[in-house]
Amino acid sequence: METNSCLINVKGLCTYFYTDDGIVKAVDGVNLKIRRGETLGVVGESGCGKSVTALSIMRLIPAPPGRITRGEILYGENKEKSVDLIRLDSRGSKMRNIRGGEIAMIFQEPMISLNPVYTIGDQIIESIMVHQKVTKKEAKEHAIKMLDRVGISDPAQRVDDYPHQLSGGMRQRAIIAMALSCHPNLLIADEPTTALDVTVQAQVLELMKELQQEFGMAIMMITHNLGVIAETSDNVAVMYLGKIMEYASAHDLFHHPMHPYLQALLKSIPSIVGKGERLAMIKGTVPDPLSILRGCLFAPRCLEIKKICQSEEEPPVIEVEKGHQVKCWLYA
Amino acid sequence: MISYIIRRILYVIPLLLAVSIVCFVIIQLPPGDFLTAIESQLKSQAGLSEEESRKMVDEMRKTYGLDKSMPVQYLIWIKNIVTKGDFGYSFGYRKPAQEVIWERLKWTMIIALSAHLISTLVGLLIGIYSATHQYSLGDHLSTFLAFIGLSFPEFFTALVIMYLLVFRFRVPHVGGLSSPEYVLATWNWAKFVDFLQHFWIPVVISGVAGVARNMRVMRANLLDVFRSQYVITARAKGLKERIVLYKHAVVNALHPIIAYQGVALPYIVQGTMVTAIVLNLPTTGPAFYDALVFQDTLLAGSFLLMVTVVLVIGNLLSDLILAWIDPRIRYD
Ligand SMILES: Nc1ncnc2c1ncn2[C@@H]1O[C@H](COP(=O)(O)OP(=O)(O)O)[C@@H](O)[C@H]1O
Ligand SMILES: [Mg+2]
Repeated sequence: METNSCLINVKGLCTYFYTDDGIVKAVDGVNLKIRRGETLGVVGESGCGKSVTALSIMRLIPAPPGRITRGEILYGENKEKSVDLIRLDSRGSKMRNIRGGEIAMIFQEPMISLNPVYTIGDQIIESIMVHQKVTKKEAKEHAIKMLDRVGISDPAQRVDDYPHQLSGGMRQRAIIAMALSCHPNLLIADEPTTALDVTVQAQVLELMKELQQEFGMAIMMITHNLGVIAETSDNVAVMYLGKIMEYASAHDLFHHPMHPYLQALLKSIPSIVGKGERLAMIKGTVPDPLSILRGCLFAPRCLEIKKICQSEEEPPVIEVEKGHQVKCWLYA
Repeated sequence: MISYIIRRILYVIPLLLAVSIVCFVIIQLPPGDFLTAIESQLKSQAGLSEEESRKMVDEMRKTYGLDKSMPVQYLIWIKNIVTKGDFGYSFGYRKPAQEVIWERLKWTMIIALSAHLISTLVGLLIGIYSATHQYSLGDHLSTFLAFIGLSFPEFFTALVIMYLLVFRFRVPHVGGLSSPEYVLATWNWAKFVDFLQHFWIPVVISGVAGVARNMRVMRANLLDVFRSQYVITARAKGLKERIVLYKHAVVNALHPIIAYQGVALPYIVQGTMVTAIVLNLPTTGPAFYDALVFQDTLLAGSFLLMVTVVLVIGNLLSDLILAWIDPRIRYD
């Protein structure tokens, strides 16, 4: 892993929310690497800090109450030229040029991700014109081309439609067109298909894979659905309560799941569990993010619990195979 | 959009008719009429016998059509309004009702519109400031002042301002819209300055509550809109914060403010009544009050009708503006 330089290298990222009820450690010591052109899947139950990780990279954490308290987010492949996004002014021009221009992001809810009072064309054109020196006419032509590319029929007409005139699937396509209109190096997709029908989900994922090939961008695919991970990802990070529990290539992850949390997650997917077998549920629920837990965060729900798991010491990260890391006492 | 406008205007016509009937009926509800008072005057002051005075008053009833049944009276009244712009005769002022109304409505509208415009603009600006500087000293201060502004009754603010002006700042003349020496003068610079010196008082007084209200509504809405997905999308595109604020957030926070415009206008026209009495202003409020007390039926009815017409038109305008900024309404 060390040899290949990364497009983005997140080291020890901590993002906390200082709320009236206490501190929420939404992201607590996360390490991630994404190389050019590759897809990193980030998976975990809802509330485990996936979106906050993504928004931290975009420097869009609402402050207050949120703050990135520690870590580095190195962006750029070559050592000398890479920048630590955390050191940039989140509203400054450097960060704004990267945001949308080099790292684009799409969100879970296509129905509410577009501004209802402007046409989709206006919104794509706006995106193009902040990052590229083109005339409005050229921007519009480019917008139409992008809409065509994401599979919206009759794009020259559709470009003047308002968001409410499109279906959910079409809106998500328009949003993808908007995100890719500036040819970003990295696309962060935060649950891009969760809100869509199953058939439309498959189409949108297929489209994203095609576009990735065509534009050569990296994707950070955030989802709570291991099926989506299986379809799309090269590497996978499994998150639980703001920490990464397991990190491996998609192949290793599905063939040798190590962490009891991941094993439990896999047992709860109908298509992986064979016909006639019982679907397993993970014992208990995700604890209140405000509760202060020490040691292994998964211990209260873990079925393979040992004595050391209940100690206050945090489990170490162990590289069980090359490129396959797990944070669990069982392998220590 | 055109068909929407036409549809909305067509709706207004039956509404106005219904409203005019209600106005007329309400005004006729109290027992007796203006001539009942005249009758007792004839008896007590002119020393006529009961029979003589009844006869005289009955004659007068005939000339003014007051002996006819209520529906007939209404039809005559509304026919004259529509065909001749004649609102009937004011017994109190001994001239046509429309003369009394126009004279006063002119000032009422000037004061109400100025107060309205200023309170909307100032309220919006403070609201935007508060929302973008949430929990700052300025935000706390304006929220506190808005609370005070909303809790003070207008007439009380009027009295306090008059007291301060007269006893603290030794202003020679307050109340009304001009100093006595200018009442009959033709318009010139000095009269205009004098007018402004009187004019700002009712504008500020009737504006204060509006500023407070608009500020609170704008602050709350904008904070909501800031959390919405499309604002985060706009930031994720790399737009400048100023553009995110004004182009994407403020536009979507305006709805309730615009919707309120239609309701607020007649409210301000009516609501300044007490202030107008305290400040001795030549507006509709005091005249309407007198007309009710002295059963000057047609004048009171006409005032009521005018105020409702303003309400209906105000609502129509705010609906049209809403449709203009929000495509979801006009494409309905
Ligand atoms: N603006 C915020 N204020 C306070 N807490 C927040 C905020 N945004 C996220 N959190 C908390 O951070 C944790 C992680 O949230 P998130 O990253 O959205 O989870 P998910 O993995 O479902 O995307 C949650 O416990 C959530 O309550
Ligand atoms: Mg999320």
